[in-house]
Amino acid sequence: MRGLIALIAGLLIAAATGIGSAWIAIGRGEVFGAVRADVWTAWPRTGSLNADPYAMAMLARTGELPLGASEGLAFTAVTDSSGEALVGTCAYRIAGETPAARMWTLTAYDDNGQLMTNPLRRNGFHAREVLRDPGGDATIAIGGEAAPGNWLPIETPDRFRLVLRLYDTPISTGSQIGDLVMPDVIRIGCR
Amino acid sequence: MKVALNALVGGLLLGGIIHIAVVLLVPLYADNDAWARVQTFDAGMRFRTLPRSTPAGEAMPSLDPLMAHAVCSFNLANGAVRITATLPDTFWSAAVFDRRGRNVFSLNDASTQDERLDLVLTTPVQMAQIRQNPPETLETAIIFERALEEGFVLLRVLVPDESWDAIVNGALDAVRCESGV
Repeated sequence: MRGLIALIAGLLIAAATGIGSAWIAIGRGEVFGAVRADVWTAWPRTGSLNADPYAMAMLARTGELPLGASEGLAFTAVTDSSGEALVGTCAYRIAGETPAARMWTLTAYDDNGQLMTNPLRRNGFHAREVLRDPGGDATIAIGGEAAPGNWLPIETPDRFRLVLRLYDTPISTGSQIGDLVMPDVIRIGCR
Repeated sequence: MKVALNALVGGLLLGGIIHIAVVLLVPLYADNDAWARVQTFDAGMRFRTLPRSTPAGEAMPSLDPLMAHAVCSFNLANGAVRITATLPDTFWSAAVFDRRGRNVFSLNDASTQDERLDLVLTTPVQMAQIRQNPPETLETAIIFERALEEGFVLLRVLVPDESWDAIVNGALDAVRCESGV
């Protein structure tokens, strides 16, 4: 009798830990091979034949089409440079150097990964349309309240995420990962 | 006490095996992966322009809303596939995905001399046959050789602003995805 209870308990432990941990790992999907630079994270191997089983399971569930090595690399930020979560009730400024790339786009998504409706119908900026200062540097204001210059509207009071996609960049081919300089995400103030 | 310890250790070991099995099996049983989504656009052997990503929805998750996309699915078991396009003078890239949604090959507009994309997908066996009597038109083509069966090609074209919509859509409508070289 005790043996039977132990067997059932063992099987329950196995099912709970096995399925639970697999579920968590696949939900995050991105266990191995992350490239981190400040607040930005990317997974270059996800878009290759070397994608690990966790990345493959994540891709199979979401149906995402990752950028290939010759296309580019997508970096995601969910916090500002001080480590606080990005939230729609705060205003941010994104500035600084972007790594060498022939093109980049910056897009904001809400916490569910959806683009946000806004009166300007603006969901992002690309490198050739941003207004630059005389020195050639671009600053993009991000937040719920209109700002002069480059303004990327956020239409949620909750968390949001930024995706910086670098197109045709030596980073995605693995040749320049050591000294990665990514732009800062600076919180200006909150409502 | 010993029985309980056995149950715990055994359970955790078996849990590890279940973990690995679940992770490896998910891709085989996923019914909403990239391949399934591409099929909903009925893209067999012709390019279909995907609806642009907007707040109202995305054709495929996480496609860049500043880009226009088109897909063509193919099956190399039916012969080599040639993709030809003349694309606008803006950033564009092409990616070949296998049935499992793995990115097996990609290139961008700097890989070609002008704004023309001329990409041939073949299996090694088909390539050996082509080499015996190579058509002249193949000289300028980019050839990607791999033992693939089903897969799809995704084209991404940057739309710098709304005035480019018609140009980019027109170019994507004219992209060809044909059997044979």
